[in-house]
Amino acid sequence: MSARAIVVERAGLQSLIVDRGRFGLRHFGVGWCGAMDLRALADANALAGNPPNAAAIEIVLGDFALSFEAAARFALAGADCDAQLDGEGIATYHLHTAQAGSRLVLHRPRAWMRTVLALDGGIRVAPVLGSRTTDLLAHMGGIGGRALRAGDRLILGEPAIAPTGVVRKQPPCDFVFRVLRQALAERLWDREWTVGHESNRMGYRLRGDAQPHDLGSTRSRAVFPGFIQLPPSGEPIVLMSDAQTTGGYPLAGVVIEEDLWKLAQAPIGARIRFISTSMPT
Amino acid sequence: MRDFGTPNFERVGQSTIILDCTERNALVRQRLWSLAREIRAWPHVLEAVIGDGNLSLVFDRHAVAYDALRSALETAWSRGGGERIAGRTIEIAVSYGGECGPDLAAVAQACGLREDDVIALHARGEYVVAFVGFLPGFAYLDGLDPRLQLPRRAQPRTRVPAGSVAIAGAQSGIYPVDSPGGWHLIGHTAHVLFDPMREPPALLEPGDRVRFVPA
Repeated sequence: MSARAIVVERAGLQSLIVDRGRFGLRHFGVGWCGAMDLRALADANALAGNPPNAAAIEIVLGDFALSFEAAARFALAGADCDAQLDGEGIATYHLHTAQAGSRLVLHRPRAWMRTVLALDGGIRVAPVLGSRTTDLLAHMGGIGGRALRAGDRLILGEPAIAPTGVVRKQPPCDFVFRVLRQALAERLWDREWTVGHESNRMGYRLRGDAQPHDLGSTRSRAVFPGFIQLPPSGEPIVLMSDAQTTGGYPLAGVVIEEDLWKLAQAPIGARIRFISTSMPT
Repeated sequence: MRDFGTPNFERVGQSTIILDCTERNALVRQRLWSLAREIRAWPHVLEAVIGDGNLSLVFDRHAVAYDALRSALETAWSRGGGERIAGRTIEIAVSYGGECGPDLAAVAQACGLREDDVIALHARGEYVVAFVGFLPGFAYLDGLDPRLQLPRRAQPRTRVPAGSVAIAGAQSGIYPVDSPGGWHLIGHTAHVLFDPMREPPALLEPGDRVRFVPA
């Protein structure tokens, strides 16, 4: 049986091959770089009958199209992009079947930011250092360590079991984030922050009623996704999937892992709030 | 006996413990390096990352309790860590100045030195990898001559080529991949600092010593 393939026709703003991430290598300076919305990745893979860590495509703000060279089943999770399969509107959080020659089109979403497309069998690219996820900084993983482009032909793996009865729904997504406090946490509360336009997969830069500080830098230390750094401007930076491995800004707190996916769905200009939480026992 | 100080252990977020040393002498660093190597082999430890006088570990909080892990970490620290990290000495051939080191002239001027002196002072040092971070395979090298210590460039470059040999503050470093960067570029090396197909992927690890050899 020849390998099944899809061809990217329109790659949108940024579409990346992702899995859950590349772990255990941060001491070499290698970030995790997994899906920004890990919850959408889990949901899409479950619907498509894939193992949770199968490689999928994470698409920023829709505007994406691909054609199927062979029949395949797939599911979309995360932002609803009014997807169309051969011109027919299809739902997110459902399993769909495409035929050879079918065409899938995603439009710009009316809300949210990122959509995960999981295809049965997963995207078959060679793992690099234990993961298929794209690392734009190290130029590795995915296809040559870069975002997808029109014309890219992606091979699908062997589909596992045919999924039946899997139900996933779009989770509610307010932009209120539970934070475990660090020394400068008081500067986070009781105000709205706006997602700044320089925000990306490395970090979300927030704008708002910030108090500058003159604490300068601290000694470099390891940092991880979810950490909220406070540069001297006082405007928080929340580290995301592609965060660098070390940093020297003081910490205000850490967004809990359960909430971080929501930030991946907050578009530029979104207003967000932080609330204090305590460690579950 | 040199003082190891009393390290602080702090939980940060749900899944991270940072061990922060008040002292920063060579023995403390050695102990942190060997401890990092030891705990990387522990079950449920996902990451162990050295910083500047500190060590952070990420653990699987669904598989191990924080209190148990923290007390194991305290015990391992006071036991003195695992094997001593001997480190290797790695020679890096550098082409200084010109297109290879576009900031050499500006560095010489800012330091009140001739370009040849900058090269000689940079190449004379024996550097130690303090920690790795910022970029894949980027080693922060301690040991820069105080006469070459400058703040970072006021305006970072949007693209620094891989292999650029640079200085900033009290440290030297080599850009492993093309990336933005704010350090002063004084030379270039053909050594590959990061190669995902190599084991280990990073050429330099904490405890390694580096000598720069003018090409």
